[in-house]
Amino acid sequence: MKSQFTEQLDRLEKLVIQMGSLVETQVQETIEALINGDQSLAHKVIGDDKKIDDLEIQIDDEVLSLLALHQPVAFDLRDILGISKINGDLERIGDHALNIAESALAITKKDSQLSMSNIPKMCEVVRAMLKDSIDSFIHKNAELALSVCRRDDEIDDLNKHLFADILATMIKKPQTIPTAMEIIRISKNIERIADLCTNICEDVVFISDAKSIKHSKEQLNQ
Amino acid sequence: MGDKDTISIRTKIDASPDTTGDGMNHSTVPVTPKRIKIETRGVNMYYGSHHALKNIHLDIFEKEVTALIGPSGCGKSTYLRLFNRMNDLIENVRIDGAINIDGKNIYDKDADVVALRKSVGMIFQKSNPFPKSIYDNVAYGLRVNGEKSKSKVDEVVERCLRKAALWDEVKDRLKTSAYGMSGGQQQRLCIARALAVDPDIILMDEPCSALDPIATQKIEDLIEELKHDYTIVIVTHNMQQAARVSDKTAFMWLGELIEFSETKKIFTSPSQKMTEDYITGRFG
Repeated sequence: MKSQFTEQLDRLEKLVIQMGSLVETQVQETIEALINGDQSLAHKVIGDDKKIDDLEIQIDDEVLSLLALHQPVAFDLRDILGISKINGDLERIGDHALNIAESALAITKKDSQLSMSNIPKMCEVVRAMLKDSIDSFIHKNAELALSVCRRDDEIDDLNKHLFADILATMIKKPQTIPTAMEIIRISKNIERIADLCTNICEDVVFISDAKSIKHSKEQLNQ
Repeated sequence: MGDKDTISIRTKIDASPDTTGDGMNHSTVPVTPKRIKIETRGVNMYYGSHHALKNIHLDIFEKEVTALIGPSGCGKSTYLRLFNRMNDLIENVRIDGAINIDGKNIYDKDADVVALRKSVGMIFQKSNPFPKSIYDNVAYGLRVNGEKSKSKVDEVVERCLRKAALWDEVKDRLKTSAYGMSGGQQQRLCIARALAVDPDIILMDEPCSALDPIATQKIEDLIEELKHDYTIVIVTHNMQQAARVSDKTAFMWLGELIEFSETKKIFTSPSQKMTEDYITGRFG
């Protein structure tokens, strides 16, 4: 027979997986809306953000209840503390997906022919990072989590190149500046999603191996 | 757990503490390494044919609180009672191995058991004041040891009641019966009584299990104070209590010492799966 605590913890894990799945869908749909110029999909992403916000509050309540009523220790304590932080990170990723959807709408309204530069490539990388970070949490797979952290530099490089590329275009064709600013905003939001995926994975390593790898790039290469 | 693990723990503890958490010792003030107060070496204990303690190796450090945890019947109280030879009173008990207190094996043939029990005080699960006044309870040990000076006894009674955080509550009724005190006060009186004979070590066998949360907190605060002057070993079924009050924790199971480490480590990332399963309530 499962204890009340184990059942409550199982329920919490399921809520986080549900949250991860919702956020993954939001990111997937915001990318599709952006790449295909699909305004109705962008509106859907903006509307669905509330579901993520509501789930975040529900998870916070469950975390508080587990900590207050059961005083967990060892793996359970690390799991619940990690979930609390991952919950906040997922909610922030949802917000960035919403920001990208807003920029996608702004771009379609501006009707500009400006190239998206590295955006499609960045979307591809960040989508894989998000999927793997959620998978690493589900399976408590520290190896997979570390591999996500190592990919963050790729997004940072793409973001830097995009900025240089768009800046050169803005200098040559000032009429593209309004659209270019939206593309820079999108790129920044993607870069932040990648950072948050890295945070999630750092927490997975903490949950799984009781090790903090925050702010230590050396440990990623071991 | 064998000698190798015990030695690695000692090595870690003997080093100067890492005050910043970065693995480096930044302290400029020299830190005196903790001294081992009680060494257990290869202790086995049998009740008749029942092997109750199996090859225990453990070091308990001076002026620290060491908690013994584990499910009922794991041997933690049996082990605790070895430190003042209380198990000697039980028939058919056989003990081998060594328990050294300050380097001397208390199970040597020439060991002075009376002196040992003076230096190792014991607090039990249920408070057990004598049917005497509060004053006489604390004074009892001194008088048995031949102290005749009233002023000396007065001084010790007051000092011990203060140390047990009881003086302010009882100073105006020292001559009244100890039975009129609350359960929590009676337990603190027993601690004061144990302190009166000037022990080095205090053993506590589930000292709060019969107390309400407020009285429990007072005893826990008292343990925190007392560890500046005494070495304390506590058996508890309350894992949160072990986590709150102790510096080191030993987990026992079926007479074996499974894991012994810093309490923080035991309760955040234990090395043994069995410890993890026990403290997270998955067995026991």
